[in-house]
Amino acid sequence: MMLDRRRLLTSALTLGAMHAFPGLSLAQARPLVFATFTGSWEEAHKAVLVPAFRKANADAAIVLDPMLSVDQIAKVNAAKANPPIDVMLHDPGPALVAIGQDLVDPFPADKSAYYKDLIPEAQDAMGPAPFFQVVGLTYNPETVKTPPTSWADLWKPEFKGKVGITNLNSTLGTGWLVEIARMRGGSEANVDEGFKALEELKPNLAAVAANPGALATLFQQGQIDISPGNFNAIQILKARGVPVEFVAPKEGAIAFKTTIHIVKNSPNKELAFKLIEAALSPEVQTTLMNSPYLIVPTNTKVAMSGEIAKVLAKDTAELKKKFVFQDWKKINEQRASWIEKFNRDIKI
Amino acid sequence: MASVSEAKSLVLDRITHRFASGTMAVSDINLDVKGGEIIALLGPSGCGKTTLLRIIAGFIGQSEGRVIIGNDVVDALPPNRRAVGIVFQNYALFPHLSITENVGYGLAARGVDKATRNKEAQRLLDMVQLGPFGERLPRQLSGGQQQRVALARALAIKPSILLLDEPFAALDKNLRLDMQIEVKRLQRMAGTTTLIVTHDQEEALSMADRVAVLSHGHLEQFGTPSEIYDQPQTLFVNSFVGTANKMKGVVVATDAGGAKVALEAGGEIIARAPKPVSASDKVTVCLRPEHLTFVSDDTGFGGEIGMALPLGATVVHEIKAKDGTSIKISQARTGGTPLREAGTPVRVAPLAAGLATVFPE
Amino acid sequence: MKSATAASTTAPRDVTSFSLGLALPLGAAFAIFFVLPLAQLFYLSLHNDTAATVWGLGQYIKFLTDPFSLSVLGATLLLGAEVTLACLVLGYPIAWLYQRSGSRVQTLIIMIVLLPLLTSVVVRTFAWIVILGRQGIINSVLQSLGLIGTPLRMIYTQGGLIAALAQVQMPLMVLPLITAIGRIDPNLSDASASLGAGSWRTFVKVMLPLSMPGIIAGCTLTYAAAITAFITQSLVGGGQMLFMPMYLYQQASTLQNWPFAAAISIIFLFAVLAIVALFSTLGRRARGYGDAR
Repeated sequence: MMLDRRRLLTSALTLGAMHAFPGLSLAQARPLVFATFTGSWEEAHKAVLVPAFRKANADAAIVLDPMLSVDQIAKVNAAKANPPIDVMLHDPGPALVAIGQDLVDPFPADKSAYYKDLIPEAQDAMGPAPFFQVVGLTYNPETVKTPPTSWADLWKPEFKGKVGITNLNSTLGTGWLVEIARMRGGSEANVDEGFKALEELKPNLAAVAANPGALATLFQQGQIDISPGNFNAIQILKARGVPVEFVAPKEGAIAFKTTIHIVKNSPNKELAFKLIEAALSPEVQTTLMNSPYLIVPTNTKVAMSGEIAKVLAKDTAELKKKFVFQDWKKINEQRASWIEKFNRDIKI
Repeated sequence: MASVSEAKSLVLDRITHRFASGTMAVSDINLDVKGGEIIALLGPSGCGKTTLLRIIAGFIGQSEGRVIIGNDVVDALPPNRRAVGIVFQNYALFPHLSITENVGYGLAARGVDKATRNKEAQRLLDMVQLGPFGERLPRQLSGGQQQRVALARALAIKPSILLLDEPFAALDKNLRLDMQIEVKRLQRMAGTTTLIVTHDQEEALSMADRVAVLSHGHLEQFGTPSEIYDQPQTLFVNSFVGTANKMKGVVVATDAGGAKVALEAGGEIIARAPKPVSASDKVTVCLRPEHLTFVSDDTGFGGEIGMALPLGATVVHEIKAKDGTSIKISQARTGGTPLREAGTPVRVAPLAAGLATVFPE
Repeated sequence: MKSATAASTTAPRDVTSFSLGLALPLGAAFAIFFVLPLAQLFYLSLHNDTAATVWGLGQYIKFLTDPFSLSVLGATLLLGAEVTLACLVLGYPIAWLYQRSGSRVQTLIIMIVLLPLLTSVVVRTFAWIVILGRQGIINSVLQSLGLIGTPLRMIYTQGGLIAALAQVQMPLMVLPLITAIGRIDPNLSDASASLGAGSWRTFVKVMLPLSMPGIIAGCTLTYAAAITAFITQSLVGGGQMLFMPMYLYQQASTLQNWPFAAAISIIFLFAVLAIVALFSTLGRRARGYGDAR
């Protein structure tokens, strides 16, 4: 409610101001604005991506303006003619929304030095994926002595009242439901089996978190012992001493592309392209792959090493084998009705 | 008519109270109030009179002593079981209840059904001449009307004792006298034993059958208004009730109940001595302004006129005595009484022997 | 001390008689930052499709004919009622105690009551997660006392949510109550007692009606705050308990269905206004309103 009101207010105000002071719309020379995500994303981009970009572009001015995907879309929507953001970062769901609302320009792949080196799943005409987010099983090694190996382990009776999930508001929650459905013969177009599986999971459910971040708290409080979880989020928890481990299930870890886009009508298109180039470069991706960032690279020229090589994949070939990619176009078609069904049915 | 079969007596038996802080509020108070009497507790603020009232009502448990109403020691009873009616200084009417509901409140607490208590409330409102105002809220009434409601409310429970806490302090001077008469009338009709707490000596003297003068938690004197005014037993009573000129002197001779005092201002005076004094004691002599007169012989003491104040029915002259003491003398303004010029040397003496009172220092 | 006739003849100057010009800055801010966005929200809600191109009442019809949506609204209003009741029952004695304490204890009470306001809502809410969790303070104590074998599930339950919200909103209840009770003439309870009323009757017949302005104000504030407490609702309530704020957030942010989210907001707004109106009607019916001298 609060977030919502604030956002509506911002957009209303922006709109109001645009009408009241048309002069504001005049294109002005301003630094490149990159809307990254908050938290560890912002830290990683500030420490690695921005310096690399500035080094390659004669210290060009750049501003990080971290915000949620939905806020990026709202801001650009409110001022399409003179967007306050030049480069957007999106999860698969919002990326499709942004493209659908005609907010992004196609990525000039032919100009790019690195685009062709990306694994095919990361290549997208409307905006490539410089990073992957990986979802697998998270467990507490102090209470779960035998590491789980499959999504199916969540249904084991020994985890009665110990399993945590998130609702479908998050990419993680929705992607996981699709994966469960696929495991039982469903698909991105049909998650009925996933809902049936959820129904069977109820005795084991300890909590349905409102967002993936809340899962971390639940681990810390011993409220849950096992859950689907984001590889990077788990690394942060681990680094803070919370007893959690990540394991890729044998069905394959779910990989979400995090795509980067040039905003339509951006006054800084050239610099925006340059920033994306930096994000796709093997140098930046290699640095981000290493500790403490541990961000999964998409450039095939990056040699896997460290924790990622150990836990996820030794090289691109194995990565492609072990990762599962989902068709978010199909998912978005029915997501609203799934959320509705989840709202109604999942009560514990 | 609140018919009280038999007015209850009230006895305060060696009441002493100390506050939690250790301050002595009242000390060893003995009062014996007869059924149906009106008693005034008179004293300046902080003298302990309100504490005494709250002890009688049961809001405060005294440290020592007993409160006896009728034949019952009531110390163990909470306020709601003492049947003591109170009219508060600010009336304390329930602002959210109608006048009728206010008056009927005590009856409701006693389980009287609504019809009966409304009838009784109406009877009492008629008695205080507020018959048509039953439906109103307290804030829709004037101060005097509110006070009459408070009185009716207190009388509705047929209290054995009625306590009035500075009942007229909030009223205009003109209205005050009317209400004093009204209250006295109602008290006579109801016949309820009544205690009025006041700092206003005129109020105490005019309304009460007997007056208890308090100072610093001590009972200074308990007597009829005439006794209090004419035969003050202590220097405090003499100066607090009415006005008194105070002059310093030394006893030169004594006899039964009296003493001859040599004033520092010169001259000698024969004075009544409520407390025993002996020769060569240093004393204070009190002289009421209305008990003094100008004399042409060499009795009394000398001085000169400081200022003349014509106060309507009386004329007051301020006199500087020889030792610098300021003395007031008040005379009825009969036709032709001249105002005396400042600086005129005069001689002043009591109108009669025994009108001066002497107290040991 | 007012004079004998003042009460009936001269009313104190009405606050509304002051120059309206003084209210202009706030009024303008209100218009720009509240009325305008609200109008935009309403405009948005009058569209049948997510892109907001087709006019119609479809979103309202969708909400008002959908038992699930109505149940979310009902659950939210019920949650507010439960939290408000908890705050009132727990807060009244605190306010009462405050009025009967010495100044040092009063300062202490105010400190304790205000403490939740001085910490961030997120911190407070996480504290409740720590308290209510499986290995939280309550479960640890109960287990060490041998009262329970397995930990109770309190977090992500309605009861836990009510406790957390009640604590967070407590100042909103206690502060108006302290003011209202403080305005009651202490002689009134003495008067009631001297007229023969026991302490219960005095409370019910005198103190309670006279503290009604504070109760109404406290309930209105607590209620409004509890039902819109998005952060606490989602962190302590979890993802499976759906209330209006989360419902409309979900529609707007995850599903980008702004017209439906706008309709939810408007319906929610009117439901809350109806409740607030009900409160103030109750308040006005309690006589002696605002006159607890």
